[in-house]
Order: sequence, then C-alpha cells, then structure tokens
Amino acid sequence: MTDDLHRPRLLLIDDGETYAEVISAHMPQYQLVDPGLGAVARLPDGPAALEWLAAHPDGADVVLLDMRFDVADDRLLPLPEATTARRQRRFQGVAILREIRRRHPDLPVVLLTRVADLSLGDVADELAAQSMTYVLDGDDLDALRIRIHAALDGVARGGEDDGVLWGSDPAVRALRRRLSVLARGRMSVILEGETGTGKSYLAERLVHRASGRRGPFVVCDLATVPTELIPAHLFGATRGAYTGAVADRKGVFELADRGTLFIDEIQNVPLEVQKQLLLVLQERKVRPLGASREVDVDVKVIAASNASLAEAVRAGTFRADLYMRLSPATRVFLPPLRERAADLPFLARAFCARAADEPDVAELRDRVCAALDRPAGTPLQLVTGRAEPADDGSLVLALPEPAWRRLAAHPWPGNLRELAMVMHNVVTFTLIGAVDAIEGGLRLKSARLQVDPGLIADLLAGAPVTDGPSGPLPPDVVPVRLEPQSTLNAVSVAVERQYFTHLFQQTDGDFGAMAERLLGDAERGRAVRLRLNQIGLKVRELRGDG
Amino acid sequence: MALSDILDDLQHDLGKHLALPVRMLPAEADEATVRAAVHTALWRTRRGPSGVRDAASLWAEFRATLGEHLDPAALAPLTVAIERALAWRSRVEGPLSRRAVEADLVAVGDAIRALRDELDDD
Repeated sequence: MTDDLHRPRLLLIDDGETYAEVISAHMPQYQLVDPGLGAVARLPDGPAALEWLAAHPDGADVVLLDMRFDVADDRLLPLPEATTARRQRRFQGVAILREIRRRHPDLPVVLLTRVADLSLGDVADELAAQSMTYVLDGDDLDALRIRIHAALDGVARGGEDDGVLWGSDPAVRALRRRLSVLARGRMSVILEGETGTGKSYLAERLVHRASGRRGPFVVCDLATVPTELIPAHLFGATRGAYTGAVADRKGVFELADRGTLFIDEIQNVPLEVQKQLLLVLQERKVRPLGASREVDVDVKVIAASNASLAEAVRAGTFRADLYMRLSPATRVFLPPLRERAADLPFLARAFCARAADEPDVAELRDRVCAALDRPAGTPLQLVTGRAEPADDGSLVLALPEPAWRRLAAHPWPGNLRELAMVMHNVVTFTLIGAVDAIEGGLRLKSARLQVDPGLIADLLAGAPVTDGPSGPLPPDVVPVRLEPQSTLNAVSVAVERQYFTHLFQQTDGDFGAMAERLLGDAERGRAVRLRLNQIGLKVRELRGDG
Repeated sequence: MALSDILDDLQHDLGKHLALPVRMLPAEADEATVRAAVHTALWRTRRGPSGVRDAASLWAEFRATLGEHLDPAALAPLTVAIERALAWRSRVEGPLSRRAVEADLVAVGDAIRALRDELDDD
C-alpha cells in the first residue's frame, strides 16, 4: 500500500456509516481523513464540517458529501428552497455545498447522489455551473472511484469540472474568477480571442449558467448572417418590412429576453446598424423593423470578436460609443493555444479522456475493455514517450515521443477546437485499430494501446485536397480527388471537406439548409459551421471573401 | 405526510441502503465479503444518529404508512420486490450468488422508482 504521505485524503461528510466503511475496506489507494469524532471517520453534519474545514483549510484533497442528513433541527444549515424541515434534511447536502463553495471555492466536492435525484428547483443547473463540483453517475464502486479520480485529476490540472479546461497557466486560471465576477448582474461582457479559443463555450458555461438568469442562452453568429439581414436578425421584423419578410419574426434580443445573448463576430455589424444596437443596449427596448411599437427586453449581452474591438474603433469600423457601452472594462482576452505551450500536455490528455466518453467512441472503448476484462466505462489516459501512466486501472493511449514533439511544434491555428478534433481522431482511430485486431482474433496483451505516429502526421498535415477533375460532370455527382497512398483518416477528411464545399455552394452558404440535408434538422446550422471549422474550412474563403 | 415524501424516505432508507453495501463491493470481492455486505444491507440497514434499524422493521413501518395512501394492488409490485430481498435473510448463510442477491436488492429501488413514476403520471 502507498504510504499515507502520498495517498489522497478524502473528507467524508455523511450522517450514515456505509460510505466510510466502503472506502476504508475497498479503496486502499485513498486515505479517509479522521476528524476524531468517533469510531468511523466522517463528519456527521454541516456545522461540524464547516467548523473542521475552517480549522483545517488544507486538510483534505477531496470532500465526499452526502445529500440527505437525518439530523436534529439545530444541526441543519438553512436552505431557502426547502419549505419543510423534511425537505431541509433531504437536500441538506446542497446547503452544505453552498457554504463550502463560499468559503473554499477551489476544494473539489463529490456529491454522493445522482443528478436525477436532485428534484429541487434549479439545483441541478446550479451544480452544473459550479467549478470543482462532481456528481455521481451511478451507485457502484466504479462510479465513485471514477468521480474521485476526476476530482483529483481536476485539482492536478487546475480544475476542469465546469467543463472548461483551465490548465495551469496563471493568466488563464485568472480568467475563471474574472468571468465568474462578470457573470453577475446585467452588465455586458466582451470576449476576444481567435477562432476556436472557446468563446461561446465559456459564455454559456461560465457566464450564462453562473448568472442566475432564468431566460435562455441565445447564440447570434453574425459570421453566418448575410450583412443585409443583420438588422432583422438582431431586432426582428414585421411581415413585409423588407423583400422576403413573409411573416413576423422575432429578433435575437427578444428571443434572449431574461437570458443571455451571445453575439459572435460583433465586429461584423455594419456601421449604420451599430447606432441601433447602441440604442437597444442603452434603452433596453427593441423595435422590430417595420413595427410601430418597441418591446422591452432584459438581456445580458456577451459580445465576442476574433479581432480587437479597440483596433476596430481606431480603424473607424466600430463605433466608439458602442464600444464604450459594451464596457471595455469587462473585456476578457482568451489567448491562442500556441501561447499556452505549457498547457498542451494537460489539454491533450483532457480532450482524449473526453473523446473516450462520447457515445460512439465509448462503444469502441468498451469493446476493448471487454476484451481486457475491464469494466465498461474504464477511463482512458494519454501518456507520451516513456512516461509511466497512473496506476489506476485506466486504458492507456501511448503516444510516441516523436509524435508528441510534432504535436507540440504545431501552430494550432484552429486552437482548442482543432486540438479537440485531432485528439478525438487519435482516440477513435487507435480504438478502431484495437477493435479490428480483436475481431481478427488477436489477443490484446495489455491495456497500453500504441498510437500510430503516422496518424498524427496525417491529422496535422490536413487533408490532401487537390483540384477537382477537369471536364464537366453530371450535376448530381460531387467530384472528389484524393492523393495516392492516403491513409484512411486523410481520405475521410478529404471527402468531408469536398462534400461540405459542394454543399456550401449548392445552398449559397445557408447553414440551416446544409443542416437539413446533413442532419435532417435545419435548426442545427451551428453544428455544421463548427464541423466546417474543425476540418479546416473557412467560411470567408468558401464565400470567396478572402 | 404527503405520499411523495413517504416514497422519498422509502427510496432513501430501503432503496438506497439495501443496495449500497453490495453495489459498493469491488468486482473481485469473495463470497465471505459479499455475505458480510448482505448482512449489513438486511440487518444494519439504517445506521446513523438515531441508531441501527434493520430492513424488515423499516419495511413494516413504511408498509403501514403506505397502506393509508394506496390500496394493496397498487403496492403489490413493490411488496413482491421487498419480500424477495428480505427472503435472503434465510438464504444468506448458504451458497451465495452475488449476481442474484445484488439483483434482488437493487430491484427494490427500481420498484420504488416505478411506483413514483406511476403516481406522477396519474
């Protein structure tokens, strides 16, 4: 057994004894903190837990917190949503968690309950928005082990559980706290950063969810809206307000009422429309095109740009008064991945672990697990070179040192989105290789799966797209050209790029129409646009703008 | 007390605590370890500030309270599930299949959930 100095310390807050017994008996890799209150190492209620944590702020690595506490009234922490003492007891873990978050924001907490059992108003949403809070996915030992592992992993990496990969870069870590502050109230927020740095993701996960606003999170992506339609898209329009307005339509401000409006590529708003936008932000009223009356709107605006708005003001393409209204003091800059070299190993590992949990990939992973007599859902960890993986029963994806050096030297123009796509493909293709081997009758010797170095080279080199064939083709045929000796991955990316290009031209860049064709759902245009970015197609280039 | 509150309590006291000791065993647990966990589940079901309660006495109490709200037909699937779980009291000393005992103990929570869903639909 590992000595106590190296075993992670778990602090159990629970009125019952089962979990304490289970952890003591079956989880020797952890050390259950003994607060000295009796035979079983646990703290029995909220006041006792808060008192202990105040006296020992660094006394535990992870807190395990039960949800229900059958304790005397005077040992209950208040929980405003619960109207009876019975419900106070049933959801007492929420009250304790709120106090822990207030006093120890970076202490990871695993809630010993399942989200499905949290039938208390918006508590599930509140927890999902919290950093360093983990909820069980099941009721068995593996579910508990996986969550403790994730919590400890989150601490080692600087925290991830809000779904955001923060890494260890102090500047990036500072963003989390700053965005949490900016989430409060109705003030606008400016998010700047290159494409793929996670602007919309952070806006939704960290600002909207933490804002407490009850309305929806609405995305308005101005890169996909033809310039002449931007006013109607923003403010709405009545029937006949412009050619083609065959029915009344609500603008995104109305759609986001009482919620958050994320305006992506705000620098695309034409100068003549910027004045109207300014008035909406000032007056909190919007007048749809062609309408005679204004509509009140209560919207928190997050304005995102992949270029500096201050520069745009200096260049005369963005109004200074609108910029001031958006409040430059709230500007948050998301650095490009190439400036976060120290975080690359952590980010690559995290994206691999995430990819392995996506449904299609998880199915492959679990087939490999079954062949190795490992439980379904076994985590997957990436190791590089000769590094030794953590001895926690994970599947291991071993990336050879030269392949890792190639990853580290890549400039990552698509930033986190590009890295996520590359790591997703690394996991998928490596697992496919393992499954093929199993189905071919080979017996896997160990849980260490070797990544093919050629795969990394292919993924980073991009798809081998060449010019289309000469001569006319029938209109229902999409020409595809491939380089000889391409790998399977390169072929699939090349085909996808060329098919997207064809569809883009066919639909005049209408992402809704593309989504209808590809996914059977015209509402998923944003997913199509994201995929375009992932495979390296740029909308401006497809439009011939640059 | 409202029926939904009673079912919440039942889910916690029996649904959760009957299953947890066995569900939380490692896959490689030997028969003696499984037997000890079944003992805990059935005879030391609720342990906390108010003392130790066994599953049979907890169920007797809940059954009486539930009987005030539901007729026997509505309670029948839950009653069957709990009686199957409690039947392990007389079989636990014999050869023990972890899979069989775990299935019976977990089935109690499933039956409570099914009853709750049925009532929600009504």
